[in-house]
Formats: sequence, structure tokens, C-alpha cells
Amino acid sequence: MPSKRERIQIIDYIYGEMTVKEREIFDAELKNYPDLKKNIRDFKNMRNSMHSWKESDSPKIIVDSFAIYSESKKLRKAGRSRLPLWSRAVFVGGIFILLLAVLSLNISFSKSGFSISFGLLSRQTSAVMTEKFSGEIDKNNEQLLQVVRGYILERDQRQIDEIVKLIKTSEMQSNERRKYELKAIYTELTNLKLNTNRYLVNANQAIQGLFQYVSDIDPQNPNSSGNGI
Amino acid sequence: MKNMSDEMLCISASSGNIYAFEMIIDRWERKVYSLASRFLFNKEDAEDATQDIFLKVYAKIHTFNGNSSFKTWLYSVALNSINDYRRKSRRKHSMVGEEILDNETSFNHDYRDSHNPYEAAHKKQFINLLKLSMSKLPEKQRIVLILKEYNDLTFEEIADVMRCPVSTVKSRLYKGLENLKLFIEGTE
Repeated sequence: MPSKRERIQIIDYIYGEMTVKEREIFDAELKNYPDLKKNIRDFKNMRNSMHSWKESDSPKIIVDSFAIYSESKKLRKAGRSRLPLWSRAVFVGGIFILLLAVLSLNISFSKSGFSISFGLLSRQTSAVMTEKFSGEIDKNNEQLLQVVRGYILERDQRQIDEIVKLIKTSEMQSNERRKYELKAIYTELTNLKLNTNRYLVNANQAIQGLFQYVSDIDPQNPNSSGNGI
Repeated sequence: MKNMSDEMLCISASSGNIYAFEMIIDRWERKVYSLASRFLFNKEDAEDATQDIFLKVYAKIHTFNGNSSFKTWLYSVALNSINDYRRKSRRKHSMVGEEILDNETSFNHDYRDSHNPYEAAHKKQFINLLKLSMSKLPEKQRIVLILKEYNDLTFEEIADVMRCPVSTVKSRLYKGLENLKLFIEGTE
């Protein structure tokens, strides 16, 4: 029996999967192995003989597509009527729990070893188990209580911290807002002052112009030489 | 639609286009029938199995994800389906060697072409022997031989269908040819 590599080579040779160079090398090698050469010739003959098994004329219509559509509809309907996977899982889980409850399954692991008991045996051992572990249960309860208390304290502290942080943030925000508003008022007042000064200058100029006009018309008027406001 | 690739037709068919699926049937039914006939040796069974195969293809078409070519996907579905069909029919009636042997001339009509009655008889005898020997081959060797010799799949395509390396396909083909030769020589 040739090795796997040789088998692959022979198949490549028979099925024309070799390059010209590979084929030349293989042909040269074959001269040294008459048995292998005969084997390959037999395989080639076998392949030719296999093709004498011709397929008959296939019927004109092989596949009835209408039947496929109607059949697939039926299958889909059948699939839909079955319970969904989750409900089946819940059902199996329920049965399992019920069985556990009925059998009173008890699994224990102690120094004496691992043991599983159920039914009457479990009931007999339950009193011993209760006595043995009652102290431990109390201890565990105390520990659990401490953990819960610690958790509540931690949670309260966290909430207080958050509230303080919120107040500080809002205070900072309102201060900023006040600063901004004051700045706006200051700007408005400065603008108002500037405008008032401008009006005063304009009014002064207008009055002086008026006096000049009056003195030009009536030089006897004592007010004509006035300096205005 | 005639110019569409198989993969595009597959996408179209999976979204409910029955014309696309009709086109797939039109393109592939003869090849699938040919494959089934090589495994089942019987015209009626091959027809029934082909119908089953396309029913499965229709049901599973949405699972074709384009990771492989449609051709190799179809051949995988077809081979699984043919296996199921054989299992079912084996339950009905166990297949014995003689049932494989061809009594109906329609399936291997080639020997009728021969003018020499002795030659024709010899040819018929050989084909029956070939069928019997093929049925005795280990399943994987037979699949490789049939896909390669009668369905013209490349080694890569066969490897894809059988989900194994190309080297394994070639090795199985070698063993298949060798076993076939031994069976035939042993019987003759």
C-alpha cells in the first residue's frame, strides 16, 4: 500500500492534475516501478469501464415544484403548532424541580465523604443535619446581616455625596449667571452714560447756535452776548 | 432572470420569489437526479429522492450564506437527503445485492447499442458487477468516486462538499478505485 503522499501523486497523475514538469518526472520514475505502472494502467482502465454505466434518459419533469410548495407549507404549519423551545425548557425545568421536591434530594459533602440521599433517607438525616448546621447558619446570618448593613451605609453615603456635589455645582452655576448679569448691567449703564454726555454736548451746541442767531437779529438784547449754558 | 447566478437566484428564492426557485430547479434537477440515480440504482427511487432533495433545498434555502458556492451547498444537501432516503427505504425493505442488479433495461440502455448479442450480454454483466461493487464500497469512497467520475466536480468542490482537505479526497479516491478493482477482479 503506497503512502498517502504517493496515493495523492498517483491520483494527480491519473486525473491530469500535474504540471508538465511534474508529469515528466513522474513518468521517468514510473520506469523503475513496473508494479506501480501496472496499477496506474488498471486504474485508468477501471475509470474507462466505469463510464460504460450510462445514465438512462431522465424523465422530462423530475421535480414537481407545486408539490414542494404545498408540502413546505404543511411542514411550516406543523412546525408552528409545536410548542416553542422556551416553553418546552420551562416545562422540563418545572418537572425537574417537582421531582427534586418529591424525592427530597439531599446532597452533602463532609469529611466522611460525598453523599446523595433522597426520600425517606433524607428525612431521617434531616434532623441530624439541622443540629449540625444550625450554629453555622446563625453565624452565616450574622455575617449576611453585616454585609447588608455595610451595603446600606455605603449606598446612603454615596447618595449624600451625590447630593452635595449637585448643590455645589448649581451654586457655582448660579454665581456664574449672576456675574454675567451684573456685567451686562454695567455695560448698559456705561453705554447710557456715554449717550447722555453726547446729548449734553449736542444740546449745548444747539443753545449756543440759538444765542448767536438771536444776537445777530437783535444786538441790543443783553442776552445776546451770553455764553449759553 | 436567466442570466442570474445561482447565488443570486438563491437570495431571491429565500425572500419568497418562487420563479427564482423554479429557475434553480430547472438548472439543477437533472444533475441532482443523476447523483441520486448513482446511489439508489433505481429510477423510481431516484425520482422520489430528487423530489425530496428539492423540498429540503426549498426549506433550507434561507440558510445558504454564501460561504461556499451554491453548487457545493446543493450537493451537500443532496447527499444528506439521499442518505436519509436510503435509511428510510432500508427500513421498508432491506436491500440485497440482487435488487441492485439491473433487470430493467431502461437504466443502462447503453448495451442495447451493441450489435453483437454476446458483447451486449457481457457489457450488461459488467455494469451489474460494477453496480454491485460500488454498493460494497465504504460510503466516503463511493461518494468521492461518484462525485468525481459521474458529476465532474473538482477535487476542491468535493472537499467543500465533504468538509475535508483536498488531500483526503484524493486519498479516498485512490482507495475507492483500488477497492473497486479488487471487488471486480475477485468476482470475475
